[in-house]
Amino acid sequence: MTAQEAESFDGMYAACVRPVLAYCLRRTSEAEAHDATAEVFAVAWRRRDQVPLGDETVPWLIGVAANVLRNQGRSSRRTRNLAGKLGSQPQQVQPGPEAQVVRRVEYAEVQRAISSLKPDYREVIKLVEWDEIPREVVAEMLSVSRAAIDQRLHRAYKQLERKLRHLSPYQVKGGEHDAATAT
Amino acid sequence: MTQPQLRDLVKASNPVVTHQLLSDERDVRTLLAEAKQRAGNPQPSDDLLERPVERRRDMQTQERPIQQVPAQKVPIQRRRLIPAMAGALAVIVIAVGAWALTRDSEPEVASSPIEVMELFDQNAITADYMGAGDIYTPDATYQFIFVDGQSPEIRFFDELPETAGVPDWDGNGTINELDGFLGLGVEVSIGGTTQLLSCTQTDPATAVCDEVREGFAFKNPDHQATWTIGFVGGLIDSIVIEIGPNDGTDGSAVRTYAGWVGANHPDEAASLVNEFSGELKVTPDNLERHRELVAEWVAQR
Repeated sequence: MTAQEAESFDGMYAACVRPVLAYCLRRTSEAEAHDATAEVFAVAWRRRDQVPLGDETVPWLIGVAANVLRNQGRSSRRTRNLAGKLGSQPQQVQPGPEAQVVRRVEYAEVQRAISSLKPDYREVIKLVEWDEIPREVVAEMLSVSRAAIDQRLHRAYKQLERKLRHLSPYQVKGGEHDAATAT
Repeated sequence: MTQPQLRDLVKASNPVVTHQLLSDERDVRTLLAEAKQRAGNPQPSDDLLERPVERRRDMQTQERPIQQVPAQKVPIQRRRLIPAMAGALAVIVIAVGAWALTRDSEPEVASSPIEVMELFDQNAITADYMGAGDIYTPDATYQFIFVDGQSPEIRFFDELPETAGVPDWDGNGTINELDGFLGLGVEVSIGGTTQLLSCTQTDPATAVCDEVREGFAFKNPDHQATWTIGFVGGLIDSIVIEIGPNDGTDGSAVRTYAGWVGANHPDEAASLVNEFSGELKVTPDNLERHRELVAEWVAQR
């Protein structure tokens, strides 16, 4: 391992650790997510000659993370319980005005609705909307066609429409950034 | 809640805010050190680098290599006998016709795929095919995927010979594959359908729709079909229709209607139905009459 290789790896790690950790946190507990993330980069360290460059790096690492979580055998149990455990997770949005409280309640309902989807639909919603991975990359990760991803998204949203029909149609501005910056 | 609102809500409900993670650089270094320490352990198994292989259990999401289907066009006779396509195709034609009614010189093209498909559906019951081709790109194609095979990609604007027996549904003086496509949809356009497609816009250039065929007088409840529509510059560039094992039209209901026409409107029956086979004879000239009679038949059932 040369100093240049080490520096290159450290740079890749710094750029990719947060999306990988976020992917794991959305699917398992905090402790297990940190454990899985460490394992992912251990794999990347050992296989550094196979890690793709540029925009392909994060999807590759997330593919490894999916396998790590699967091998750990914890993700399915944790995902079913995740909606209930989210309330005990460190809060990303600080409690504030009443509107913020109402919004967080609705977010929790949406998270529960997503957790209740069948696994194929649940995973594609998470990968595309939460992990923000392009559809064609998701298709490659899951070894299905792009059309299959489109269809799963379509059906997932149809089911979410039915489950969340009771929510008020307020305008949500932005995504996680808006939620993160709200105080 | 509209679809865009729901999608925004899903995005906003992300339980993890990526850029807020590991705000303390010490945590970043700790995790890196742990990873490197693990890397010194025995090599991981290669399966951590593998992509998952999904078991194929849903025909509508399955990508299958078709090896036996011959690479030629689906015969026109077969296309005519695919009732599952009838309503779906009529939607496009009808939607195009509605645009043609309102336009002066240039067609009004909706700004997003979901808007286009909402217009398609709204125009499903008008069966006005004038200007049908205006919403397609010049090289637009369609394709059917069946349970046991698929058609090749068919270009909408490839011309057909007059001997093909396809009416000039859009009335533009040219008979092409688009007219053939439109003709497949006439049963739904005469059948009292109130909603043919339920659509989702999955990205700025793609819409995915399920055929629902609400109100269709000849509906087969076991029918499944999914459309994937690709857009370029606001125009339809590709349509891929995956059809399940069951036709969209209940053949026995159609035959019942044909028999009813023969019994109750004998003077017109010869021009409207084939009383022996039960098939409907639908042309641009008698489409509206069929619509009236189907409504009459439904009312007295």
